[in-house]
Amino acid sequence: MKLNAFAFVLSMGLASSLAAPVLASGTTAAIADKIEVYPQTVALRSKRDCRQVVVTGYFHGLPRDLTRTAVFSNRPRDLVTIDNGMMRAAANGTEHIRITASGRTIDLPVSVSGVQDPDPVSFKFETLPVLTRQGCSTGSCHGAPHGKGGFVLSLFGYNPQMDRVSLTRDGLTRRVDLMQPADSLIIKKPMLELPHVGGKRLHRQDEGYRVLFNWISEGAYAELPATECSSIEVYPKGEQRLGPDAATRQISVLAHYSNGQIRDVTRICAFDTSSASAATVDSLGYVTGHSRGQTAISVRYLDKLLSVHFTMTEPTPGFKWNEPRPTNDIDRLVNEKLQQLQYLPSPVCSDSEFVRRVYLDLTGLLPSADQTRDFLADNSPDKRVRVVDKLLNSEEYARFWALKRADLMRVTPNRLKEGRAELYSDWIVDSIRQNMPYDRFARSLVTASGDTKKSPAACYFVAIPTQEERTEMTAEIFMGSRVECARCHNHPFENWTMRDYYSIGAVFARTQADDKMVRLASTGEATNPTTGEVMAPFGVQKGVKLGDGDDRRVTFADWLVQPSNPYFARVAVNRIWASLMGRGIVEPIDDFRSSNPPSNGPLLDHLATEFIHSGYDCKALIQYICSSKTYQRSAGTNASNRMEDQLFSHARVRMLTAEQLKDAVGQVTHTLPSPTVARHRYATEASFPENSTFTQTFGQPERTSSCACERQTAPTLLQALELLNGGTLYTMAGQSTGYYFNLPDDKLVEDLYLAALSRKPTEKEASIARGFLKRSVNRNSEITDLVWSLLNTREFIFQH
Amino acid sequence: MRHDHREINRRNFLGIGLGGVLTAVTGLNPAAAGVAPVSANARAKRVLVLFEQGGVSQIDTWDPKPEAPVEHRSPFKQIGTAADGMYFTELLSRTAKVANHLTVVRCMTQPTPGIGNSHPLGSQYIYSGEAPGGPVELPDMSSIIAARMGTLAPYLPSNILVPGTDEQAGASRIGFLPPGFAVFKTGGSPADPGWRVPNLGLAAGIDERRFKDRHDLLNSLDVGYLGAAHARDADAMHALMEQAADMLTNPQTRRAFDLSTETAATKERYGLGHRGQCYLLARKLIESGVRAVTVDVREPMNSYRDGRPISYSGGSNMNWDHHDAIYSTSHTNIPNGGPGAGRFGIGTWPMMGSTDQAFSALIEDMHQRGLLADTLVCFVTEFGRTPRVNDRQGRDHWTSAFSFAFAGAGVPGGQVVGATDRDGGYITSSNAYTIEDYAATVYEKLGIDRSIPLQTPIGKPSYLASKGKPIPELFA
Amino acid sequence: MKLKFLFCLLLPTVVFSSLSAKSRSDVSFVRDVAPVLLKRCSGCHGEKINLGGYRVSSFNYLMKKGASGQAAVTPGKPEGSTIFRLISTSLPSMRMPKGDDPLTTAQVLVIKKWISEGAKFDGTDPAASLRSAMGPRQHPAAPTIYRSAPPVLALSLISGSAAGAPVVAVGGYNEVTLWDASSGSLLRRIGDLPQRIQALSCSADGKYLLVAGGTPGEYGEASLVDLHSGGKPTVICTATDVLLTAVYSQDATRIGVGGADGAVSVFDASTLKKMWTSSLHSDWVTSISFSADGNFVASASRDMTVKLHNAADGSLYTTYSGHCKQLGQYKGQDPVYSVRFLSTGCDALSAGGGKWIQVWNAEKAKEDSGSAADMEERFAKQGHTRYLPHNSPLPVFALAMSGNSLFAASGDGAVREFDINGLKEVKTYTGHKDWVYSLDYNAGDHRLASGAFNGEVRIWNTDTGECTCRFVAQPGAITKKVTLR
Repeated sequence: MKLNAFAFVLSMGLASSLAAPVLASGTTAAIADKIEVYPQTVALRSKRDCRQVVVTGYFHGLPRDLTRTAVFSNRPRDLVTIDNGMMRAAANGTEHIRITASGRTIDLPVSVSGVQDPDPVSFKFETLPVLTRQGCSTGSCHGAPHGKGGFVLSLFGYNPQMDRVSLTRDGLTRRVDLMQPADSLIIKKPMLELPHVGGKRLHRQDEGYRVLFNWISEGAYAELPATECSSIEVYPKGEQRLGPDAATRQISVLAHYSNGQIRDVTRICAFDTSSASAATVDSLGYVTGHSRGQTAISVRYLDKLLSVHFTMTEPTPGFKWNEPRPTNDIDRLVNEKLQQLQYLPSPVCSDSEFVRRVYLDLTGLLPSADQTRDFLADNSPDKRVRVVDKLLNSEEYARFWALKRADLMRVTPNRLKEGRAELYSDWIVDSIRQNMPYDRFARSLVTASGDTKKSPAACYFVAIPTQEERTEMTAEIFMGSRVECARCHNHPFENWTMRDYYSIGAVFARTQADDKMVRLASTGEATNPTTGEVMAPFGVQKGVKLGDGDDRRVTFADWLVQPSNPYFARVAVNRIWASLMGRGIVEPIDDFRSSNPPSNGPLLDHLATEFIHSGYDCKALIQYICSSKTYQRSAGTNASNRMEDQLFSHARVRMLTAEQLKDAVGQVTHTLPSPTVARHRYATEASFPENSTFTQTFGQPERTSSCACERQTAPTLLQALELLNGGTLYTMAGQSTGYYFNLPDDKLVEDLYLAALSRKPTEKEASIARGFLKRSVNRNSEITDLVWSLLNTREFIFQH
Repeated sequence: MRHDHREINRRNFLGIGLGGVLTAVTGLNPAAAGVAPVSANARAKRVLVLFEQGGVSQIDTWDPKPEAPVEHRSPFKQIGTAADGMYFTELLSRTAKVANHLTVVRCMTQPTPGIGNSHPLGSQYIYSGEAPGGPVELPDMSSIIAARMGTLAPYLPSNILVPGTDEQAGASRIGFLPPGFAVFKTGGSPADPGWRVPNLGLAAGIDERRFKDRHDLLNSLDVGYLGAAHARDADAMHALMEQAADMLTNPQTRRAFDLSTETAATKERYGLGHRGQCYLLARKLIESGVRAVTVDVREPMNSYRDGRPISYSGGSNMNWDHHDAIYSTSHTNIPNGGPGAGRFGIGTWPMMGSTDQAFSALIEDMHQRGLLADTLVCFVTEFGRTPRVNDRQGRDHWTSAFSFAFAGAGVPGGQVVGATDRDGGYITSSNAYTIEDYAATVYEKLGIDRSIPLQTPIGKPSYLASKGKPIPELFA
Repeated sequence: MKLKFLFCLLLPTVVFSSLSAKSRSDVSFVRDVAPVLLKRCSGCHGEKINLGGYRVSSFNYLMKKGASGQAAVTPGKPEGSTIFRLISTSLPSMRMPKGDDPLTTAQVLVIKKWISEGAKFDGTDPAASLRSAMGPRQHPAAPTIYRSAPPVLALSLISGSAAGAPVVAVGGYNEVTLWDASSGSLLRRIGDLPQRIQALSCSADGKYLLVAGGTPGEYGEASLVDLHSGGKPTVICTATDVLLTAVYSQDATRIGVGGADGAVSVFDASTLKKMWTSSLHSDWVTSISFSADGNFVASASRDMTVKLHNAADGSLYTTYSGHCKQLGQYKGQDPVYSVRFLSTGCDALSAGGGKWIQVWNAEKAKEDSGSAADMEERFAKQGHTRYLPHNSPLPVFALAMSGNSLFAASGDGAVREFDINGLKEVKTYTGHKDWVYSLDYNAGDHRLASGAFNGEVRIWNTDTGECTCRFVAQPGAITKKVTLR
């Protein structure tokens, strides 16, 4: 179980304390308010035992790393050696080491014991991690399926048995030299004392050198104890901030083992950064910030991976927070992040912008000219909230949001024959219409059985027939995780292991589906192809044994939807947030992993918590987001937030989706009857993608995968051609004369602007339009051309 | 029909850091405009990249290995070519006849093991000419060429991908360049008699006069809106619509895509299937003045021949990823399956047969039309295949050594560059070239000054093919 | 650290020779300079990788210009030589080796002195690779005390000692050790040999011992030890990686040598002149055997094939690919570790990874391999080979045989005896607790010797199947017992 995979930590208190301005230069000599040392006591228990000590000073509440400048004194007995804060055992005894930094002192009790006893290098817990750290066992080097240059290691050491043979026995024992350890190939090659395609990988002063050398010197024992590494613990935890005066942080990593032992592995684990422009990390775990931005520093030790999220801030000259009053906690959390990174948010949008945006987001349709008129004329202060309520209760809402879900579930008649696709689609629409709690929705799908005509949710298993696809699709939809890689090896960027993959597979191994029925079989297992191990179904508690008659999917669903699941609620709220805001807090929205951090972690946590407390109420969440200032911000940018595009400082300008565009053209040209009359003619309300040239050109997915990326969103020249010259727009603009022909010009122009852009024309626009209509060569073609022109404006094509 | 404000829009759309070469985008040849000093190496005005995606086996094509161990040897015999001392396998028997126009580089390699050893990343590597996975996502070379050099034919996109519907066409990236420079994908299959680029040519009932009226009206009404000024996609769409308008009113646009203007003999010479007609379309586009044309094609299961649909049984994914049964005489679906099942053997028509035909026709045709004088033609693939045959009778990915072929724009003919060992697995020559070197070669041939960087949105300079050097043997 | 200190005493050859250069009046390229270049420069400027378009893999290359267009060495002028400037600069960003520890002062001085003295080449072929230009190595003395038992990768029963006690030769570290095969006591140590001993083969008359070995990844050597005279071993040849096999032909007129550089070489046994070399294998040559009729030399390789060479000139006769079958009943892709011709005709046995010892005929193998024209058929063909299952889950590393008896040593710790005619297993010799890598059989006195990774040697009586003697081949009294694994 990977509950520890995410280090989402609520750190609101910390974040708000960071709001104070950073002091400029000259602070290095300043006296700290206080200093802290981690850990508060050091107890070394063997001769190679070590502990990374981290010294932090606080200046006006802001932490600054002092590990490398601190002076360690009062050490008469030299119990330990210290380099860059790394304490190593030297002699038995106890003493209080005095740490002095930035004018403050603190005493650190240190005890050392067991120095006289042997402390051999552990193959499993030191040698193999070092091979990962040095890059030997990566997928592009010896960790590739057939290795490199005849030398094969398992990817990131996931198969110690194999690595042990490979290092000590294979290759006619050429790789280690017990007589002269430094003469071993596994040392000489990475030291580049012999030609090595992988280049220089090891230096004499590296911890990796020390571990390999000692391991061989001691006889290259490759014992594989039953003990496992149960978790790693990283300090500092959670979200961290760096700034120009405090641009560095030392990381400390402890490994906890199943036998209760704890060891410092800072010098033998592997570090990486997700954004090198924000901050980098060296092999000692020392993080250095570079320029404004956020990054996840990932820490890998064996198959354990954790990330610490760092935000690097830089003071912007002249930045002054304009303190918009938050409407709710969403605004507060977004503002905290913006304030920290020094971006000014855009102001709240106009009523016209709001009404167009909220209709498009919630129903996929434009507000009609009359609906817009009414809204603009309404003077009550709660009108924005009321319109959201109204729309959430509309049939259009249910259908438009069902479309988003159906895209992922592959609801298409190509896969689901004889009307099942319709039934399945209707079931999804109904679940949204009823506002079925999202946990119940998920459970209904993954545990569905029976006749697919009577129980349409069971189509979930018909649309995705194989065990592998079920594993991958379920993980992608409900856990936002791309687990495909784990089919063949432990996922290099995530904690998903092959065991996990085939454990999820085991959940669905007994679910048999044909076109008509989904049945539970009493047999069927999933086997890890590397080890041959028959996997227990994912989600089953340790020690619990499922009977043959038990539905494994029910147990899995219990695990999936429990509030403590780190994925389920977060993935769901992130999808909803992305639908409304044009970008996920985690992006891509189905690629949750600790090395792909949320752009605003506290916000994601807050939304997930609210969602869980509401009983997984999607409508309530949408209502909550739509009532925030964050949602209601203008698309217009200021000098400060122009380049900012992930912290939600302004509304995101995005093209209407294929379906929205098709329907909007129909609405403006009055070629689509009201939805209540002809719902099936609306692309946003249809059960399946129409896959016409028009909708395909604008990126409508065919529903062949469960990846949100199947929907293409970048503008193309083909779209421009379709708009300027395509048959769809041309024909519909021509037919719009049926509605507009008899209207007086003033009314015509105003109606048209209200319908297309949800605003009245400016005086200038109105006069240009009226002038064009007055040419009276042919009123039909003039109206057509005017409508066509408006449909080709960016203001129409884009949502803003 | 250009108004001043539209000029400005174009420049805004171009945006960033292109400095002195802005003029190029107005359609002038930068050399003629005297914008950049022209190096003697700048022999190309256009570049045509034939990207045969999936990893073409070097051993079975450009780099025959008759001395390889028998169980790993290619069954296809080594043959002589029109150039003395130059040998291909018999799969390139037609191409052998035009070898006097080609330089074959047998010492291509991916310098960092593993970076491009997958199809998506390898394809992206080929498209962008630099190793993917760096701190910023890099644009395609063709987009950079379009941005730097502009077009020779304003009524056509300056960079086109034919057809751009393949599996890895998504590896094509616009990176940090304005979206307007994204490659234009023609879509569809030119071999299908019903194929058209959608919406080229004005719709019935709209004459040019009326289109102009409409368009003027649109320009006066499309004043933008709050926020649009800095929204990347909206800006891009605006520029794309400008370009689309140009394309629609120029009769040459349609002609450039219209294969019916080619003679039956020419069409037949290229091969009447999908691949042949894509290669032919590429030649037409180059001839029409498109700066950078990339062909990323695979013969589909359902193709056309003489205007009639034909289909191949068995396979499905017809790229060069021959993990299974590479020497099958039909499809490669071996019993019990394999990860790369579902294409045809390398010696079959849909694979090397059609490729040999189309490529030899292209070289011959471009030579006859004088296009080789100032067009660089590059035949590339993301990596090679293992010198050993695996237990599914296929060959797996191999980045240590593979072959590219070049022609035109001053590339010497009948030349072989570099050598590999007896098995074709490792480079033995003292020279070895990377995909970055290939990219540097293309830029150098086009006269693009690599010392002028692109600017990323956060203002960092990004130098073109900074890790590569032009392949000297191609500039003899 | 005590251990580290111990290793400092065992100074590598390279350092030793460069230090000694200081006291000499002149500097030798092959003796003093080449080892430094090889160890510190050739990683980036070598045969395959040559950064900056520059390589030091031979004297000629060293003197050639790199991509910078500057010559690295200007004879007589160290300060004007790029190579000297780059290794001696105090600017870490400029200094070579890039991103690595600087050369030692002694190493820098050697190169400086060599350039000042005119940068002369004192080897035989300036185009030859540095390794071959350097010639045979001076081997350090074997450790008096072994801190652990080295894996027994090679052993040989000394023939013709019927009168005296049986003797077994075992590969040590820079030496071969001779042991009393009935008591397990150390009789004699023969030094001046390569670091690792990978193969031992005693001449039929018991006078000579063929030795092959080297240092993995950098040096290989085959030499001949005169067991009677006891003089310094005669070096037959050297190589760029360890040599893994050295054998006599069945009539003792020729010697075959092969190793990790993939080459097979045949020498005249009396003159030690090289007759031919063949480099057809794409991976290590692990074992060589001469056919009884004198026509063929078979070489087994980690490239999963056995190559058959015409004994006269080394040209390829055919490739036996039975260990690399991809279709059919006996499929698998496995390295081959041992090949042995029978004592009559041209039937051979080969084994390595996989489940079977394969018995085949050289002439029929040629017919089987056919042309390359049809892949499917080629892969499906079962051929004339007979497959003898050996029932070990781990590879067979060594074969030994005489008459109808065949012995196979395997990674599972067992030595198995088979009847070649009947193609069946006869006996299993169990007792080794680790992978068995080496094996020798003396049919005359029914004695079998086997050696394992943990350093243990066992002597077996093949009539009874009993282990008659066992000892750990670890010379020198050691105070602390090293536990066997």
